[in-house]
Amino acid sequence: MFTSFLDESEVLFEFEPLNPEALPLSSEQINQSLDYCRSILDDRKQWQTYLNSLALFGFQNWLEQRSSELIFNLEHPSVEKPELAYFIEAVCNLAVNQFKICLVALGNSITDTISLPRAIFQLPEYRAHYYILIEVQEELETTSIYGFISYSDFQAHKTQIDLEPKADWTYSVPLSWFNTEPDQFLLFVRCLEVSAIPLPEIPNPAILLSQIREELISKLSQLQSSEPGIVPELWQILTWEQGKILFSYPELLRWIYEVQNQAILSAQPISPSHQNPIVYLTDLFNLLTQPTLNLAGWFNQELDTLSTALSWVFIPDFSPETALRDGTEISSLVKQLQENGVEISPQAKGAYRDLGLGGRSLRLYALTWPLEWEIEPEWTLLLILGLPTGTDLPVGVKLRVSDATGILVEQDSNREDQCSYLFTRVVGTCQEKFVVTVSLREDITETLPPFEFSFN
Amino acid sequence: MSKASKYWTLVKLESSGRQKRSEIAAAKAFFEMAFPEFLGEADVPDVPIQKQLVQWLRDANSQGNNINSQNAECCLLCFISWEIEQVCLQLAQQFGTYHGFRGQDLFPFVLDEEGINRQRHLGQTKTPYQSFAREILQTFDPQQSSLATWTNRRVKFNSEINKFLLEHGVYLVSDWAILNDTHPQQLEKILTQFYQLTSLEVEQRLQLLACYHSVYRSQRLQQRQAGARKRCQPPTAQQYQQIAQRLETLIQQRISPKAVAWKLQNLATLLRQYRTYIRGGKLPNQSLIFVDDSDSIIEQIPSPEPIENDEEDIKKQEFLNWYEKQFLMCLHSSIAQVLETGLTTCQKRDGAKAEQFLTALYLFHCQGQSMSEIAATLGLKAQYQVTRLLKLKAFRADVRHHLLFQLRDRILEYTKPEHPSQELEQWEKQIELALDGELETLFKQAESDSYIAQNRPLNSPFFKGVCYYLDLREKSPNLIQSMISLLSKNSRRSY
Repeated sequence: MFTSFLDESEVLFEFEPLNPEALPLSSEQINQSLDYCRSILDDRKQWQTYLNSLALFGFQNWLEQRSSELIFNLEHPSVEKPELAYFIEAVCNLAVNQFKICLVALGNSITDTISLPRAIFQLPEYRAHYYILIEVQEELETTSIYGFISYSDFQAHKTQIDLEPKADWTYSVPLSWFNTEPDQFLLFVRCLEVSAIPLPEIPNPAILLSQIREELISKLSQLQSSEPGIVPELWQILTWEQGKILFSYPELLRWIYEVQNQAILSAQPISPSHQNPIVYLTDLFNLLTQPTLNLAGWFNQELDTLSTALSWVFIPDFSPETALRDGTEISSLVKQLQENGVEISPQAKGAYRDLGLGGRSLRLYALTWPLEWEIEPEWTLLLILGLPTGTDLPVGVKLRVSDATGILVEQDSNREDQCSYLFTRVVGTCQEKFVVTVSLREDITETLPPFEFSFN
Repeated sequence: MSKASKYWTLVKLESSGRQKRSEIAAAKAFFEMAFPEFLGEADVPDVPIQKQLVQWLRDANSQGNNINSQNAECCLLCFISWEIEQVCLQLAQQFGTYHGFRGQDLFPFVLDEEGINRQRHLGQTKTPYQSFAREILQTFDPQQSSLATWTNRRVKFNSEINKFLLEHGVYLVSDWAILNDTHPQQLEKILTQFYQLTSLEVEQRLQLLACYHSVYRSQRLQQRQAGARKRCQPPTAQQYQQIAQRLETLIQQRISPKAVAWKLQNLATLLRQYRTYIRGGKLPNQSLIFVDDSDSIIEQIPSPEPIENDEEDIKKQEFLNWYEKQFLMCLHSSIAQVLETGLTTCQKRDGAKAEQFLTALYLFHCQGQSMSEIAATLGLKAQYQVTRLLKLKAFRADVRHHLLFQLRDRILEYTKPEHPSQELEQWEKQIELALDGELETLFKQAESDSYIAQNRPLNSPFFKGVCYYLDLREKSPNLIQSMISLLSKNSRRSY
């Protein structure tokens, strides 16, 4: 039976006059919003991302209509990155006249509080001077500004009533805290200096990631879907302290996102990390926490201290031409490679390192040289894994290279195809790092500190 | 309870467009014979009567036609026509004046029952056209609601009515749009705290909502992708089927798509009523119950009464006197700047609209015309369109901000504020008072058009400023640019 709360004469109040301030969304804006939420599988998060994206465009329309003189930057909203949209249900990374802005959509269903993620108040990357609620009328394709609150006002209210975050890493914020005069928001961003709303310093958690590495790896592996369609939420597995660290590393968020959405965000055509996410996770942690070996140092004719400390042995005067004549192991390897059509630049520098795996001694050669580039400088790393003796590799040896987006390549010596060495070549920009892992079986592995090629 | 005469009086639409009530003798005689216990009663209980009438109507349909069923149908159709008329009239009463429509404009969409056709026999091929009232009757389920509620609902959700009202700036959000935007957490809160349902009842509805979301939302996004219609359509038979299947898996019980449809509709009704309640109860800038106003950060608005702190008062008065000259200069340049920018954007998009805007601006600020007079002059249907065209509140805020910005540095030298946001708000209020006093209240009245045009402070600096600009625009537009650039040179941030 119907439980009717209002008597029938009041039912007509459900009709509302259209808000004269509401602005229409264009079909391009709607399509762009659909694109932003397309790859998110979870239907609740997908819908919220869709509404949040519409809110972003609504905000843009409002600013454009109200003020040609405001300088606003909405170029790279967080909804552009599915992993951010998925874990932080708000739109961050926006600015108006130097003020950082964060937006959240209000749909057709409003209670007296709104649920806002902790991350947008407690992490420097996502925190804002102003938090703005945008009403989205999805089926009318219009939006209007509901209200706003500054960071300092939020903190003051929060202290006053001792508002505690909930277990799911959100605050239940009363709508009555928000100033519902959007014109006053414009007044503030037009006339205030940014310093009027101080954002206190937050310590950098970088040290902590390496400290809790093992614990985090085991916890993150629990974030994989246990049964189809059911994925655990971050807050069900991690403490908030661990969560904070995670939010500071978008690469880790991206990994969880890929695992939970069975999506691949990187442009790599084949990403084995997809089949073996946990293996890749250890690579990723190495990339994020290990000291990095800068190969640009090898061009100073001597190994830098780090390379030496890491047992790299420099091959003096190495060049493909001389290498071919001096009869060393590397020379014959280079010769074989060149016969197989692998080009090696005359500028290449090289070094090798001996690895002991399960009582076996293996030798890894690394050759590097800068490449011709058009947009930004690029470099290449050629890796060759063999035995110091030059004999055939034992069966089951694997060579794996990963970067911040996933596993790039995994070579192994199998039974049918006896070979004396494995080799692979990767190309990167000066901002990219590679991490190399050699393994004999699943349990006997050695990961080398990441490589980069930086002129800084 | 309702008047018994509703069951034998049919509300029809005449060719003139007016509604006419005509008594149907056969229906009256039948009603009095069928329900002798209510003879002479002014009001009759609707629910048992309607259940009985529907039973006669539907029994006959399965057993062959008889006189009872025809008469029962006739009584029910009369009742429905009454309800339809009432809903249209209430809508017109509530929104008609401001949005420019009458009840008569709504009748043609829903009041289309011609009369009771005595020639209908079962087995005869149905006429291709079925009146709205008969459609309401066919879909009516006495187990689920009263006929009045059902009719009311069907009229409210009639797509023609909705389309017409939307064109007149009146909107009814659809059930599906409400359900789409409802978070499980919100639902739990509303059902528990507002409706005080038991945890089991809440759990069942949460499961229903989850199944609805997983089916309807993703398909809505797909339809959007394909460029589908804007408004959310009711779920298709197939979608109801899919929701039912998911729910069965979840609760391990059989459930029919029809039952799912009812449950969803009831859930949406609960949400809609809550939404109506919360929106109706929302006053702008409500103070927090648990915050002492004197400490509240947002609510620091100085009262317009004389401030007790004399020194403060004198300081502010001084400021206003000292700045009077620059103030007026800046005001004129701000008005010019805001209007120039607005007009340039508007002209690019729609030249005719820009002209309309200028005319409305002139009539309002310089001729003292009311909103409905302006609507008539411009040939617009309703006041709300003038409101939307002028957007006065935004316009005036923009001017104040420009003005403040130009005066800001000097203002801030005056007081080294501890809370710049609050100071700014206060200065803005001061400036607002200096510009046009209690104008905001007048604007609110202007929207309801219940005020007299002479009340408008045509002499306020703001009104004069707008007229000055419009005048200048006519006579020497090149002066406007130099006026703007003269004053914005001093700003630190390029405005």
